Amino acid sequence: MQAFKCALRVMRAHIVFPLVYIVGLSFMGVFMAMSLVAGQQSGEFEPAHGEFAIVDRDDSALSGGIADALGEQGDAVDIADSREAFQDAVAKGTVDYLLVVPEGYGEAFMDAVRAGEEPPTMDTMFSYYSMAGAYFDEAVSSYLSAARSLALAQPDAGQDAVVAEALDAVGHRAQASILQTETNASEADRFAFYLTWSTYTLFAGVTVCIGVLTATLGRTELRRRALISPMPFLSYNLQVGLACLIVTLTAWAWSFAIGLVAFPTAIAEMTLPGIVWCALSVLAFCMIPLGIGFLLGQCGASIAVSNAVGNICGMVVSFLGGAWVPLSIMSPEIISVAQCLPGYWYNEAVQLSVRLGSAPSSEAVMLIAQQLGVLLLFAAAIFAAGLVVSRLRTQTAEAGGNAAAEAALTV
Amino acid sequence: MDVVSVKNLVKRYGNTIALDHFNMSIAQGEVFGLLGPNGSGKTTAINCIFQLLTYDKGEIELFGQPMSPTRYDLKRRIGIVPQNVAVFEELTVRENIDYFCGLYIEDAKQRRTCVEDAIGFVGLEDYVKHRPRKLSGGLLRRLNIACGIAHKPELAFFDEPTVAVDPQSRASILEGIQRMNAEGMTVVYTSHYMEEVEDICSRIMIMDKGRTLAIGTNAQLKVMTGIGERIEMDVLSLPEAARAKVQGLECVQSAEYDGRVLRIVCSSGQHNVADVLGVLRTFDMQPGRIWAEPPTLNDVFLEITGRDLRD
Repeated sequence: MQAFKCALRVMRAHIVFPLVYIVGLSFMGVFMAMSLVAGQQSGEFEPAHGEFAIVDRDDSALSGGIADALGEQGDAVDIADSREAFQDAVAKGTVDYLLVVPEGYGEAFMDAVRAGEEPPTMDTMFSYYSMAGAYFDEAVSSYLSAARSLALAQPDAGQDAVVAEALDAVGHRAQASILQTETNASEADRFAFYLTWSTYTLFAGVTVCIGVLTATLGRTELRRRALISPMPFLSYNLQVGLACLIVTLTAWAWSFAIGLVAFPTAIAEMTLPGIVWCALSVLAFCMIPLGIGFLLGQCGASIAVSNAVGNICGMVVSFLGGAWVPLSIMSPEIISVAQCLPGYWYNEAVQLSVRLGSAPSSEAVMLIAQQLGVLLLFAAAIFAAGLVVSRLRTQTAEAGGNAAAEAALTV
Repeated sequence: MDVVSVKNLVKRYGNTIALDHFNMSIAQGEVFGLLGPNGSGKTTAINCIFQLLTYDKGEIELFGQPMSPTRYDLKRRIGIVPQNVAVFEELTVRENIDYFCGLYIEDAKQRRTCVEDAIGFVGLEDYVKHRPRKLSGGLLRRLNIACGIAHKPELAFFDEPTVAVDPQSRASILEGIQRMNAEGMTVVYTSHYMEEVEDICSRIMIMDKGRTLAIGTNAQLKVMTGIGERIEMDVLSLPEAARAKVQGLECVQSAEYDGRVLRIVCSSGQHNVADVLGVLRTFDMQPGRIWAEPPTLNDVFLEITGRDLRD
């Protein structure tokens, strides 16, 4: 098992790649899936709350009503009546909304309304830290609009009566509550999201690791030494292949185990067959970057090239597999392209697996198996291409093969 | 018994013949020098011997038995030290030697002994835990050799093992090869450094265009060329008539004068220097420094293979 042990030692020397790609990106996937959890709410509806300030130079019933109207939607903050204080409060975000009620505003408002004229305006300032200022301004407009309507409807009513009724009118609010719909993510869905996102983790990680491994062991002079030695080349290749498989299986086991640990309630929500089929889906997908890593190694790709291919292809495959943007919102043309790549079929298999019942029908199982079959066909095709390249490479000039000598009659 | 026997080996690439009925036999215990300009067929021949290449015709026997790609028993008895350093950057010195030795020896205990012997043999005891990138060029070459001979082969091929190393490392490597040979290892040595081949090889083959051009000991090859002696004399203002008279001597093959040094190539003879000095005296010329030497292997090589530049 010399070649096998050597391959593992080579991998140990390049440990930074599995650490960055497989371990690091797995945790990133977990955090992304968990952020999906944070976006969901349940229970009572909580309206947005902010800070406002009213500089009341009028001190009328109408201006007092404004403070009462806003009081239900935010907290009042005292601000000195100076331009510097206003600018300071808004710039520092001490308040989201600042309203200056000019002297005589209440009387002027009532007179203008009853005269059929436009009511006077007030100075307002909004903080740019949030949109709460606009919300408060809308509330002030609603209150004044109600007061205007009531003043018109009751020409003899005093300012106090109008304000009381206006406050009563704007105090009525629609009841809001959060409903759980089918579109809300369950724990199993979050687990599925993590697995779908893992397409990038596994594609980039396994491609780079296997690419580095096979490229190192496939260096022409090292390969020649192995060919000349009494170790049958089939045995040598099998040992290297076994090492590649071990690396791939480790990546698979790590990635899947992290998902199970990070989303424990997913296990409770899902059925055992569902979990098993999810694991098999991930395993089948892992065979594709394994094949690509092997192909890269046979092409003599450098570590930099392996990194580039792993990352770029990983992004494309994961994006078109629906890892970053749901496939459901993609155009039919994009979906047609996605179907030419393994990420799509992997995503289908995972989505079907997480919803699998405890006693799945043979049709459901067959459907998942078909997706996995497509994944394995992708892997087989890539691996076959790697074998062809390997065969051609043994005949190249560097390898001291027939083609080499033919090209240059080397030495 | 010949350790290596190659008979009528023919290797064609289309219409081009890389090896043209090539023959070679190497006896046990020899240090056999294989020389040839670039493109002469040396590596093709070695690749055929190792079965890395198929060939059109001919027979290859190692240790008296036909060689084939699956003769693992024969492969076990061979070692190779390639021209390019072929070690893993990721492994330490000891791990590298252990890995390559392990391709030949499965038994861990036996292998451990071999690895330690090889480390001691090439003098890398202080560097066993170092990675190759931390080794100097000379140490790397020594590691390359250790990886090729750790399994104690009976026959070892050294393909230009001293390229790009300093004189001290070169001397150490050559001394090591001679020691291995003294312990019974048959050595096939290729190099473009003629003085090395002259120093360590008991028999030398010069090949070109896939054919054997000459084979023999160092002395035998020198005799083949017809060059007996090279003479150089420092002479000031040598008249052309004097040079022509020297050229006319029976023992002189060529005489060239560059305004300061008279260079003469003579055939074998007992009185070559005296004859030339006699001619110069007739012109009242008294040379300063006089230097005479027998032909070198380099002279032989250029004489046999020509002076045309190769790839």
